[in-house]
Amino acid sequence: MRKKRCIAMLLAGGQGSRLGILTKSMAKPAVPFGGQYRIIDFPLSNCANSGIDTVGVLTQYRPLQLNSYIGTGESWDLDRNEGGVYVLPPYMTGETGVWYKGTANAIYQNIPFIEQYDPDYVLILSGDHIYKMNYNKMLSWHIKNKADVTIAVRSVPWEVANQFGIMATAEDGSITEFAEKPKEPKSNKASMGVYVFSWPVLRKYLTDDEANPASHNDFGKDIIPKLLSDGKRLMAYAFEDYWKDVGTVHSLWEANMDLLKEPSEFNLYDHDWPISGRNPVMVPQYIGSTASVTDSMITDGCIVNGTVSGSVLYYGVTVEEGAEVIDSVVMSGTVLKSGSRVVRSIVAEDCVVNAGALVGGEGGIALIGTGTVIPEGACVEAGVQADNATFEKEARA
Amino acid sequence: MNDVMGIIYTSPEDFALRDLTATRAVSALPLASSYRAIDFVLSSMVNTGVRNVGVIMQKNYLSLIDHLGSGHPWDLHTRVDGLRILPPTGVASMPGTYMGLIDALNANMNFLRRSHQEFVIVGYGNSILNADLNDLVLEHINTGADLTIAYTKDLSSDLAGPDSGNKHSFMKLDDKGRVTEIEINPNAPSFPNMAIDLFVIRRKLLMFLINRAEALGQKSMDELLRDSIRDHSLAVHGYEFNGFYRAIETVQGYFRLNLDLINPETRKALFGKLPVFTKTRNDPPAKYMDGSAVKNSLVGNGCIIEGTVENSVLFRGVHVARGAVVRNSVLMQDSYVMENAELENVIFDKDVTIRRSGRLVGQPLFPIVVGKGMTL
Repeated sequence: MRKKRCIAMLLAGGQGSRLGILTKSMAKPAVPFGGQYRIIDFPLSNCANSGIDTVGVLTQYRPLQLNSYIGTGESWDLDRNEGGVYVLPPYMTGETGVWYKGTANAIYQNIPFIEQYDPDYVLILSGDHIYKMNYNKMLSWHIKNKADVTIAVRSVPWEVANQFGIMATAEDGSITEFAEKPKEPKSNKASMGVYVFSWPVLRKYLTDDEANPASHNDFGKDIIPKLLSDGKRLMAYAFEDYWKDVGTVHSLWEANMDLLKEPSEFNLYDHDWPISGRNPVMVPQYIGSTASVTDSMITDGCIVNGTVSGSVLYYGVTVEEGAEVIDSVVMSGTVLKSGSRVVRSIVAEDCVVNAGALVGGEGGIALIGTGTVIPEGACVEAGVQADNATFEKEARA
Repeated sequence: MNDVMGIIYTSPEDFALRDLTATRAVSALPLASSYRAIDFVLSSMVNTGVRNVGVIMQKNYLSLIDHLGSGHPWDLHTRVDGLRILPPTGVASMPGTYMGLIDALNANMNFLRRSHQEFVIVGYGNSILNADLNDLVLEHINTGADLTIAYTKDLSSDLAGPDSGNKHSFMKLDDKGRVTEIEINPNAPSFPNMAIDLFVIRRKLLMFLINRAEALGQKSMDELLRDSIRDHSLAVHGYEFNGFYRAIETVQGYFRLNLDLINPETRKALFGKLPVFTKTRNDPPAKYMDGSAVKNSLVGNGCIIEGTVENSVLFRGVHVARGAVVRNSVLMQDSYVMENAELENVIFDKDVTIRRSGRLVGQPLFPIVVGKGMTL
């Protein structure tokens, strides 16, 4: 196979357990976002827009949705003869074979995949964030600084700094200290989990790490600290544009709401950096005579005859006359019957909210799981998570 | 049904569409927010199970090729068979234009010869219908007809418009469904059965008839049918098509079709049963700003709406700015209605801009058409 200068490895095996019932049936990178995307569309589109045409997607937890979603990669122009997108689940090797033990181990197990392309650089990405980033600029920075590894860095609010890999940098941008999720962070410069490695260095450190039984086989906990203590050149690449971890119900809701702000913090209507996704063919959206739609995003296939305000409707949502959706995220195929009211909630795909049902309110974000049928007149309070099992239990009680 | 191939003829008869077809074939006309005319007959063939489709192109076919590409949206990007684009070739008299379907098929005889399916469905790229055509093929086989042509009794489409030129054939059928008489382009039709540019025939018989037509000097399919019915040389059967059917022929008809599709019942009749495939763009969802007021309209993805939109069809990426009012209009992709502008009974082709406080008002039966890329 022809040599590639840089290939990307996208870690998409995460469960995203903080997203509760939303990730019961799908991995976090497959979680829908912004009307017609899934989280993984953002790193994949960034790759395509940055001219990186070879991407390995490492899956582990509930890979079905991701597999079928990625398909041949045609939606991101990643169906290449030379390169392209590959889904890489863990596999058996003779008598052995293990799950991916950690982020570093996942890459380690795929060294043969990487070596096919004999790359100079390997870009490590995660499928957890909403952002637009030109990885090429980061790669140029890496090359210019003759770094062994470059880590994308951004400032985060001090109060959440303890949830990230936190680093200290010298004036030239080189990293002098790194602490994974420190109890008392010394700075608020956080790793975005986006790394450019020079491949020979990464290969050596992955191999050494695998040989160390005490290792967690994790980039943040093991590989980066080891590189630092060995005196390798680690560079920080500052990125201060929009970047959001959508790991919790609240942050997923908030990131959707960010799309509605005007001027928007995160512009999807940017023709120079298109975000692509794989979408079903849908009839155009219809806004009826009795509808009122303001401050919202609505996708093809929706039929709106009720009131929609401050909300994001994914494709194929029906809002009947007299139904109300306020400050909410409603995923594809869901039907809101006349007289139902949804406030500050995330309603997952293919739900039915029957007449008179009330979902959410002031307070925490309510979450309705995939395929839930909310009975007539039922009430799901703010901050509560509910699916069919919840209502079956209620009915029995 | 795998033993059927398809041929789509994209007609050059577009004078009545004026500016709308100045730079594109009728079959490439955008329709209903996100489609192009040819999507309907092409999707119908695909939904019927046809896997080998030739599209006969002529005159201004660039946008059609751009739209069809490798046939991917219709799953026709296959190694065996798939979508075959047939650009104009082999006609010396009028380069780029055929004299009719017979001329066009004659020029593309090789495609017919090399195909291996037993039957051919021939359709027109400006026919708007969405149906499983297996019924048509089955009826053709069961009646033992030589040629089965679809007809409709529903004449609700705008056929009598001043521009239409009455270019339709009407057929008389006996009680077994056999066509006994055909009237070509009558001013006042004697029969209620209007042929709809859709027929099925054995591939080898079609090749034979095309060869013979040349010898007999038959220029159009209608002439061929008329002669064959008169001398009883062909058993021609009629198949009543009960689904939604319109043909895009005039500006008024095109305008009305778009606006009619806003109606949920009409939309259901066309889109309700089977999917219509089309090439999609990378547009984000449509955005409705604070202060927007949209009523009874179809909106494509990628639109940004700050003003008022009523009874209108907006294609992808249309921007209606604050204070602007759009009524009863069809705005194709990437049109821009600037602040406080007002539109009523207007068709905007792609990329049209109307500047601040501009006002353009047409008549319901005579919409104003603004050509591609204009700024008003």
